[in-house]
Amino acid sequence: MARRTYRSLPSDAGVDRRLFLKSLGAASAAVTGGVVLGVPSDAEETPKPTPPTEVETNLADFIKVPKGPHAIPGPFPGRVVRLSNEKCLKGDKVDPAVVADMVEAGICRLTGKRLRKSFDLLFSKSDVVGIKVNPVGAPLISTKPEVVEAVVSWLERCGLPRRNIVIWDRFDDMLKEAGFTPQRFPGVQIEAMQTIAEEGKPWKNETGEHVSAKNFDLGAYYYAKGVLGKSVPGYGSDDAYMNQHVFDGEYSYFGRLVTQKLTKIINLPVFKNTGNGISIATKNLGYGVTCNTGRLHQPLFFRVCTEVVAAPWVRDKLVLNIVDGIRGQYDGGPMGNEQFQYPHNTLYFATDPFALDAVCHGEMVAKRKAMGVKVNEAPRFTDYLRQAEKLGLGVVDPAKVEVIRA
Amino acid sequence: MRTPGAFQDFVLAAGLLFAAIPAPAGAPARDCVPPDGLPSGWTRSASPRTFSGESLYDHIDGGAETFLELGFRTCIVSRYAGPAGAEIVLEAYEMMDSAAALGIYLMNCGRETPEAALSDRNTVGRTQVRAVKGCLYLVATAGASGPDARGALLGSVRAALARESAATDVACLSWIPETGQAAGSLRIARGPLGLQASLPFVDSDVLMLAAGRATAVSADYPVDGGSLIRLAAMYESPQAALSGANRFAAAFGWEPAGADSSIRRGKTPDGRTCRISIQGPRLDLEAEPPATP
Repeated sequence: MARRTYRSLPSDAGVDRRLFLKSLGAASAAVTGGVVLGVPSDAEETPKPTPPTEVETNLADFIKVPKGPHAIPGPFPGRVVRLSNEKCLKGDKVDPAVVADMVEAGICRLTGKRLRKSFDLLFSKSDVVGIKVNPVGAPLISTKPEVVEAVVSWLERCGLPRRNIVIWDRFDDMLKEAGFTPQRFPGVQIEAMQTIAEEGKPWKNETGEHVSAKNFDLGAYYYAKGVLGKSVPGYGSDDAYMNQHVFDGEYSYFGRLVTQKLTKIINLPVFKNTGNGISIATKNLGYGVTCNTGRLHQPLFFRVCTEVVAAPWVRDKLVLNIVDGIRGQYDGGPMGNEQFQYPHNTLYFATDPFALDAVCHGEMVAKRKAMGVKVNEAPRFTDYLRQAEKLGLGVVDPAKVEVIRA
Repeated sequence: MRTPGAFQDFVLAAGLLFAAIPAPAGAPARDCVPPDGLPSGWTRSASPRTFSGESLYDHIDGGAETFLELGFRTCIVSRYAGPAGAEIVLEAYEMMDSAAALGIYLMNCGRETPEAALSDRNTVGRTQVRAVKGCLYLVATAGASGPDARGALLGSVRAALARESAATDVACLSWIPETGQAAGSLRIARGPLGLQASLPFVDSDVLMLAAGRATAVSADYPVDGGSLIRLAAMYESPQAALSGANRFAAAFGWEPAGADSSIRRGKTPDGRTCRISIQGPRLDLEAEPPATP
């Protein structure tokens, strides 16, 4: 068999993928007793592994819908602006003035226009703009409120009313914990797609529904058939699961906030890892716009980052991504882990979330290696990026991605 | 307002008082969380949150699977408020056994910076403390605002550890040599995620650890040209170990084994020379550093 090599983003991904699948096929044959090395077939006695969960999704339905005028990858496919300033952190404290300068400079470098023109390129004054933050890992590694304040300030100065701005995440308690409160952002809407009832407190209404059920659009869903009955770790239908996922079953419903209220989305993720992968732009949305996601991690994981973001309610509204890399975390994520954090002093800007993830993945891999963390570069950790490129959602081929350093 | 020095003395004293609370034998995580009404001004500021296997993703969105793969029972998250706006959050994870608890600790501790004031294995930073004892894995994190809470972090962890009676007894650590291990490289794996971290050239459970109910321990050993990886796994049966070896060999297209069917040799996708041997339910693997191009 030809020797394979792994690269962060192979330009000819299909070859690696085919070989990978071929390997898996061979492995499967071994498991079922077909290929045995030097010993008799053990088909009868070999413990059978849990079969891989075959999951069918409704990605094709999303792709059939014609793209809107603002659909990703937006006006700058493959372009990523990387802006560093070591003055943005003073010890542990974020300098809001420096961060505001970085945000404004980054937006202008991305669009090649001044702030007002940049606004006009991406928004109108009647838009309702959702700012999706990442509060997971607070207080150590969540989206910094100072970055959000700078974005809000830009939008407001360009004529967008504060009441038309919604800082949002899935869970109300996490938003509060990460510092996104009405006191800090007066006049701006702070909205979670759902509440999680504290232990011992009721979360069902008089009809037995989750109190947040009305927040989800039953006509807009990510369908993942094949999860039920396969003992997917983390999936259940008991009260503990329902309290925190609102619905069980094979449908992950999109929040009404995303499908009905917002007209544009700004994505503000954090520069951190998730195991061997990254947890940056597309994961912040892929797992942040629907309910009932616990069932998706084990069988689909990064595939969700492409397929949910491909949904028209996200794809056609997502106009800007800014990665908060003021502090970075190269291992132990997505939860905050002080052991692996460092002042990264960097913000990244893109209209193309997949180009952004591709660039950040490469930098994360380099950082992990530099810090002596073993890096697994198997294609599975970046397959979702190449899938997005094939679907026309972004540009990830290193030869086509343009990184502007400022 | 208290001075920082007085405050630190204060929370250290509180920690000692926390530690004085008797520990029930074999205490589950819920009982390892210091209860309400603790003295010294630190009080629970919200009801503890309990996360089961089904709901752990909502506490660790995107990282819960590593806990579940190793063997997870429950997680209790408690918040404590102290003087001058100080806050700490204590996460107490009750894992299925000592190996699972140590495994998740090793995955998160990096190069340990232990604090002698804690008697059990720990790593202590400025705003976060991690520790492991028996089936219990603890993480205490200071809030973003308020004074330095290091003393309170240590106190809360010390108190929780005192309420766990079982010691950490992880036999698998003896399966590979302790001498020569690269710092921070020791790992325990029971499925694909753990294996991906141990063996950087695999992308699935090619050793069939989960199917064979196996526990694997691995570490890196610096040698000329890189690091040698050693992994040892104990399966539920000799047949399961054999299946694991067969699948690994087949996954990488190795040639059929020779007369000695207990040995497999071949190359990995990243160019390492690799050897697997089986003895009863035990599997040993050695992967040399990748060949220099």
